[in-house]
Amino acid sequence: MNSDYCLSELELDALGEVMNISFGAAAADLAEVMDIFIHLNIPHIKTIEASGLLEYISKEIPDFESCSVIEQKYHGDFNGLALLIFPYGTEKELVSYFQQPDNISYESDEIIELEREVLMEIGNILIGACIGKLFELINSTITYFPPEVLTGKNLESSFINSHLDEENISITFRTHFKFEDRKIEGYMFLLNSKNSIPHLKKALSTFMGL
Amino acid sequence: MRLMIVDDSRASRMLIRSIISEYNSTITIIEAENGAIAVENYRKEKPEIVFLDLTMPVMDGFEALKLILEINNNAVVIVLTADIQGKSVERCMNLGAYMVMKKLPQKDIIFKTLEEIIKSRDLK
Repeated sequence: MNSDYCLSELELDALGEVMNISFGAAAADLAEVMDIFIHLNIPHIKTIEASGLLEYISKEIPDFESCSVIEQKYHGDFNGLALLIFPYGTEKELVSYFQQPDNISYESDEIIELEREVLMEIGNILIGACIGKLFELINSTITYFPPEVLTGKNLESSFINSHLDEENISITFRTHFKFEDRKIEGYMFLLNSKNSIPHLKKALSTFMGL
Repeated sequence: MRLMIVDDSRASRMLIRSIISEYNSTITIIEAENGAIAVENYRKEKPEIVFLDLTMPVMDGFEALKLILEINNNAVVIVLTADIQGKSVERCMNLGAYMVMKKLPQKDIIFKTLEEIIKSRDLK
């Protein structure tokens, strides 16, 4: 592969650190809004062929097909896709953080809509803050497409229609987080197109003071 | 003077090292890539100042902070972290951190903090 499109071990490490800082800021925003504490874990960063990406995610996350996925595409100097993934059933727990304890009963379709809105809101906060900070750190600007809520099963068709070329190499940033006191956990993946690599190389060099 | 940088990211250690060296090139810098190595290094080398990350493999920064302060309850440990949630900051301060700084490290804040510590502790 052309070395212009490869990141060295040190560059991947630096990118992991940039993303770690970005996700940390996003988690702090969400923790404040929801008045909770989020346990952050060590993030993993790797490059992977886009065609193998869904298989990779399925291996990483149990019962991926039934998971709720908040997908947000973005573009700027390069294109990318953020995926925030919660195991099936988590959406009901998440709704309880946003609800007043007033025992209002909802119709089932209203509950589904409420769960979807809560997932979108959490996605907006976490993905928006994380990607925004990432682009700020690499001194670049970004435009977002509206987020969508999908199931893991539906992600495949959406992924095929995304801006990412199947033959490209994607950079995946995977982080796993847990909400204090509740059995709520989630994963975030950021997938960036091959075109991101020259921009990232330049920005990471500045970041490391080289 | 000896100073230890604890962070699992090599790039992050490089960045902090370059700031410290710019502040004073005679400072001896020790590095550790996780909390367990940091505690071991602290016991052996007794660095006057420690920059400590929180989210690390093997042993996280909270545990390392607690153990370092058990070795020396006057240890100066500056937590430098991406986890800037209020509860994390509070936990670090309750454990005895000197201060909590958010990443990215800002050169002017690090310079000012080092100046304060060196003066107040009469370090050379």
